[in-house]
Amino acid sequence: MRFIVNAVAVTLISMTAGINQGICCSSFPAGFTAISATVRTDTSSTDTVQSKTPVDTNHVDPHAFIRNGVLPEKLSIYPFSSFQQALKGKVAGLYIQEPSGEPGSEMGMFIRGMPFPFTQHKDIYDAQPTVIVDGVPLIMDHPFAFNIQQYDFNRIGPATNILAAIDLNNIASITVLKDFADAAVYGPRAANGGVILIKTKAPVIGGRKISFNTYFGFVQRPRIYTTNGRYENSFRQPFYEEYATTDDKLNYPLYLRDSTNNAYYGPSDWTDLYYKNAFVRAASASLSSGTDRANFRFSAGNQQTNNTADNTRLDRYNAMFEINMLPVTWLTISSMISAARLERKRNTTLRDRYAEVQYLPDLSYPLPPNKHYYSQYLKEYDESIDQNLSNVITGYFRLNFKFASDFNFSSNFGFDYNEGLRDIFYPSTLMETVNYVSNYYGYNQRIIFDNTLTFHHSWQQKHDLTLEAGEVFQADANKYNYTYAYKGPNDLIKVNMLHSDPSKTAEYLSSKAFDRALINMFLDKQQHHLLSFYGRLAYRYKERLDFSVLLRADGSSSAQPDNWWSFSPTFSAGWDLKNALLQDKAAVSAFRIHASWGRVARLFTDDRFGEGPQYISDLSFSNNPVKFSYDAFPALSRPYNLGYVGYGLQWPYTDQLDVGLDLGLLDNRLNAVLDLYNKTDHNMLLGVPFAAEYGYNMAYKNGLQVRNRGVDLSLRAMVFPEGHRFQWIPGVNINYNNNTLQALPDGLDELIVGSGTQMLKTGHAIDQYWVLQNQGIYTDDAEVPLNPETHKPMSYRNIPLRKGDPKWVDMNGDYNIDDHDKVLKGHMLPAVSGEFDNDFFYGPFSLNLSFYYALGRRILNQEMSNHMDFANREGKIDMDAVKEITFWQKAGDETKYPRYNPWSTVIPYQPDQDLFLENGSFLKLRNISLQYDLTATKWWHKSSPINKLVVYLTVSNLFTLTPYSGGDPELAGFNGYDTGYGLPIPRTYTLGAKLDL
Amino acid sequence: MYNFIKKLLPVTLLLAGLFTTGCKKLLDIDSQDVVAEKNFWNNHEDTRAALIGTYGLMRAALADHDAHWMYGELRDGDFKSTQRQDLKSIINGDLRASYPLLNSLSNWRRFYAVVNAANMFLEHVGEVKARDPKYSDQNMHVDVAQIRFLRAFAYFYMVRIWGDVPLITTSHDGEFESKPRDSQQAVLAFVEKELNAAAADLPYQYSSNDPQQAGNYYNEDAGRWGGALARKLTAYAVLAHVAAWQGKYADASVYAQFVLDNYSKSGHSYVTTDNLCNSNGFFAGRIYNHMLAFNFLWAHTDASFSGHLEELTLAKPVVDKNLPDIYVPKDSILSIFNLPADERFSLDTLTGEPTSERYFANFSSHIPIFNKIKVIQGGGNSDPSFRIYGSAIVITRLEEIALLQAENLTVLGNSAKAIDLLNLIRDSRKIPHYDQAREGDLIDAIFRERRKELMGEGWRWYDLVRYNQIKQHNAAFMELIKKGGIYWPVSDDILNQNKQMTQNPYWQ
Repeated sequence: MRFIVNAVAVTLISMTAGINQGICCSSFPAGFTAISATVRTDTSSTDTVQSKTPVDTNHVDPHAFIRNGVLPEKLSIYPFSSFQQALKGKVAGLYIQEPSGEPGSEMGMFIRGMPFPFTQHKDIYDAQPTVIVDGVPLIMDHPFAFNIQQYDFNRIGPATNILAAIDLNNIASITVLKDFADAAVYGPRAANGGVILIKTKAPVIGGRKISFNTYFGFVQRPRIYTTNGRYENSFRQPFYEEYATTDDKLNYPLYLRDSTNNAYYGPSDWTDLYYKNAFVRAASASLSSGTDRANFRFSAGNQQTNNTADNTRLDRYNAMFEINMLPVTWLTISSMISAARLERKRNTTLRDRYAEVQYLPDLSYPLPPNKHYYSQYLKEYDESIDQNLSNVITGYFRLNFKFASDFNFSSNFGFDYNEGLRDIFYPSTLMETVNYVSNYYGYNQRIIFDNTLTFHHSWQQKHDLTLEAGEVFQADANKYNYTYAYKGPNDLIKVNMLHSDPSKTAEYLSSKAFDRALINMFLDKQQHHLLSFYGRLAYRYKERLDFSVLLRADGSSSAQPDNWWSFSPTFSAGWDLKNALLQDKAAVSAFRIHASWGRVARLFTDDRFGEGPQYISDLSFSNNPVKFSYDAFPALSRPYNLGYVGYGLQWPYTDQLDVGLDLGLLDNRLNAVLDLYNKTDHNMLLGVPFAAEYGYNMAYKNGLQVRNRGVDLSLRAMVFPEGHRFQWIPGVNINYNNNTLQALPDGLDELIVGSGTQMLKTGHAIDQYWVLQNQGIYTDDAEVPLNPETHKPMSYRNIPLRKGDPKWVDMNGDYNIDDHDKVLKGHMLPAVSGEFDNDFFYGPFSLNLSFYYALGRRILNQEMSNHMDFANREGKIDMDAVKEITFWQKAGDETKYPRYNPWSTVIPYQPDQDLFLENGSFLKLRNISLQYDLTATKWWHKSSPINKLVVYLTVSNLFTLTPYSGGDPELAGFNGYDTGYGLPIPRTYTLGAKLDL
Repeated sequence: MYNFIKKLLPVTLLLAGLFTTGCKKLLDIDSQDVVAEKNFWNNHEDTRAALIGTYGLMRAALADHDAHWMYGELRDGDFKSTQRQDLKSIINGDLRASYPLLNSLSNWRRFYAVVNAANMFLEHVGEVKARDPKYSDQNMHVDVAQIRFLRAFAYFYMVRIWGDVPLITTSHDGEFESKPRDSQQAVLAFVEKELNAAAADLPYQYSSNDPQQAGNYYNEDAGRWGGALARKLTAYAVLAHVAAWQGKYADASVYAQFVLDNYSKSGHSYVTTDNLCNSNGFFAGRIYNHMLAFNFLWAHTDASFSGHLEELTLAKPVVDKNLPDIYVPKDSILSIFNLPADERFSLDTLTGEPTSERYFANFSSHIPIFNKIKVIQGGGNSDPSFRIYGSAIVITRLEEIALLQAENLTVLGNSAKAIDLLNLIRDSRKIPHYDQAREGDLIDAIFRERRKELMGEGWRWYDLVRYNQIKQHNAAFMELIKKGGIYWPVSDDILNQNKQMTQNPYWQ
């Protein structure tokens, strides 16, 4: 047992303990370690004697098993570009959605399924679990900026994944608290299925330690089958021959008309410029030293991740400093500050650029597939500026008073601040002759202040009682300033400078170069305060039975004043069968069963919900997401577009029942952790399309109820006895999740959301596709069935179906295909997902093979739908008509689809039909690593100052097995649609070394 | 240890005090991007913001997906779509086609936002009156009249698009209930009553010492208001159309005559062809001569990419766009503009070339550009590089009312006066006077003139309906009128959320 507790109990708890050690929620609120129902402090192993050799409180046992957690030490050799990537598949029940391999772009994390339906991009933001670093819950970007955006592909600003700032080299442990027995203490922060706890590495005590970790490698260019105008032309010709009218033929796209045009019909070699082998590298170092009265740790690092596609990149620079001081024996002062900077080089897709610019140029001519022409475009692009910076600072200052043997008082001040800056300049050559400049500055700031008073006493090793009272105050602010301007005087002025001399009032703050009429400025701010009080009692009898009760009250400024407070209880109990009944059974080394039921409140996501009926400045309409004024006067009206907010909104809350067992057999060589959960999100707010006759787009109402239930199972075996020369440790994580919509607001049974594309039906899952069922094609008008009553042919939304139209299933038999004939099919999130991980050890060698899988999910192949639906995607100035350079890349097989009349007004190739719904299950060999520990070899000098030297080799994303016909099945958007916009998750090779002095 | 506790106690008490007494203070934060009900309707700034908001919502309803032209100009109109399938469907009257654009246009929500904002105003304006001594009776009456005008106009607009619509005259705030349709007769009766009431209280001009609006309106001078707000003649102009739509031509002629008799009091005048077609002319900005228009002020960052006819009609060489979305085919142009020396468009009798580019540019090409309305950026230059437009959505102007009055008088049998009015317009376009022998039926001539004069202003479809009602000779069109096919279908989104709502029978 290596369970090392700092002598003065600053709760520096290593996670390397065996399974019966259970879970540690170590630092927030500070005292909780001691009483968390599942924590069993093993007092016999407090071996923090003051020795000459440094006590490494972060010692990593490569064979360790961590319940619902991961060993960052094991992951820090891989070139993960973000925290989410590192966690992918590592914990049963945590699903990571990576919609693009672009380094530093957003990723979604979902613990135990989707808590509510995602109808727009910003919903993902509200479903993210809180990440807590050393007791400081990290603040993320607020989605309110989407309100001023016409397109929601990306949030304005750098839109960088802020969690990419986390350096795994600084982390001692990552634990995902899913069971409310552990997580409810975090209150509303745990509403999205729990919290993710990060414990940073603690300083060493006695002596000093210096560590290095560095790797270098490259991402490999994928093999792509490119196409050109000839291919596209021959793809379209059969449609024209069969269906086109003279008019349609006259409108044949200009770029395909001339087969001698080398730009489109010439060699398609754009991939030479688009896909490149590129480097990845990282280096990090740390220094730690100190005594038991004062110690510190300092670290710094840099990582650069390149993607093979589109020259995208993420650079991270980070530094961290942590100290602990014990001026007197009863007082511990600890403090940590960590800072990181993220610089992101983003993709150059036209879509993202036009979405930012909110202006579409003429789209008659797409980018040509020829390298020569594409390079001219890239050359123009080089004149642009697209700077994306994020700065992240997190820290805490903590006082711990141990003022009597049974009493502990802890006071923490924590803060998290991140800011994003994006400066853009697109020269006039990129967009007709109009240049564009925009500047974004936004910050998210959180201050948290908590106090905890703990009483803990044991009576003759029999009764163990902990009482705790705590208070937490958290103040959040999210703010952004955003300015954009069009049509600067020339391409040399790349910044929208303002007159800055306040004494010249006439021109002060007016633009120096840009036309005032073409400058748009925005600023907005959200504020939120959360004040919580809780009390907790935990009792344990003889290491056998335990139970705990937590009662908490949370007050939120975003709730309405008559409903500020929410009260919620949590109960848990455990029975240690090993200690109680099976002490003699040597084969069973640990066996505990536990159950908990808890409730946590869910916060309102926007401060406007706290205001009740309200007025806002919103005169927007299509293509104009922001209009504040009419006739140059400011306007106010009810939030007709944003949605009605009435009085009487109630707090939503999450109830979760968790029953599980932890089992260790044969000296903990076989570990199993099984949890059955039933998580129900009650009374959530939903924008219900409603009251159009009163002008509102929708109204926000309580009453959405979603249940996720399922099983988390982790199994791990040590195949050979401890100490054996050869060791094989296979481990598997499995989550099975089943999602059901239980209730809708107003007692509705079904509701169409997501601008008509999604159906919510009680009794069904919320992540299903709502599609028409396709059964082929009408090859003749005579094939279309006639309604025997009216003698009218089968129709689609009252448009008679004809030759070349799809045969859609008429579910309700009314001879008219419409929304009533759509069915719910498939799931966006997998039913079963997880990882199969293998560690092999042989002497100084260790080999890791990690497979990642997701089963029982479907993808809607929108990229294919777009390609087939070419008739509606030409001749328009519309996002639908934008063709990227990747348009010239073959994805899927068009010949597998029926040849419909693409000009038909029933839109035969519309995406929402099962024709484009495909099985998106996959199995990936995600990571392979081979490590060689020189210090473990026979010839290594034990007296060497080097304590550890490991060289390693890794390969990532080696292969994917999937029935999906499009690209990488992981790269689907929040709604399960594969738009083809995700950059590949590249195959990466690295070589690295770790060194400890 | 005792000492220590003594040391700690003040700290603990301080912390405890901070958090128990401060609870309310800590949680009571006002949102910074919305105004709560309790902080609104307190003073005249709130009424101004709400009034402007109602205008802005009306503008949004008309500009959304270029709705004003989609409804009024495209269906059965002179414009053809170059490539866009959704526009082709509208032009062909195939209004149930499954394009997002058509679904959006079938939804009346944005018009009801105007109605609701107006109802809210009428219900709360008394609170401002009670709370703000600076808010004068007259100011309130003028505000209320404008609000009633906007509500009535929204209903009139909806009736023309959907026929029967629910008539909702209170906000039902917080207790929204689904309502069935009311007959269009009932709605139009309400509209007429409201417009008459509004007309009585509205001034001829703002901040111009009109007896009904003395002093500077909201402390802003006349230049700030221009033609942006509804005035007395605005109400009468719309009244004339409400009556004519119902075939009540006697009423229509009374209302229209009031406009024609008093237009100079509001600063209106007949516009020259040059001014009409100048990029910096009639359609730009906020001008007194707009009888009813919703402006987009370039200088105040209000210009926009869409919500303007130019978005659909302009292309090379006028702006950098390959092809326009819609255009008037050459054959149509030549058959519509068949009189020589027409300043709007005519061919030179000698060269056979167009005499001007006022209405149509690039006439030599296969696809001419409709060039009448082209307020690119602010309209002050003809820079083709940036497709942002500052043109106002003009609903009606003096010429339109004059032609409507000619129509009214013809139906009522007063042809002589009608011909005078028709010739008045023809004079300003420099075309010969009406000649019955050559041109035939007077009503045909009047509608032909409307077709030319108002091309691109969103009248064509409504003119067709009135014309066919008068003539009754087009069996197919009469069938369309009879069966309710002249109305748009109601969006499925509306039908899904309001169980009392029914689809227009024609589209069922």
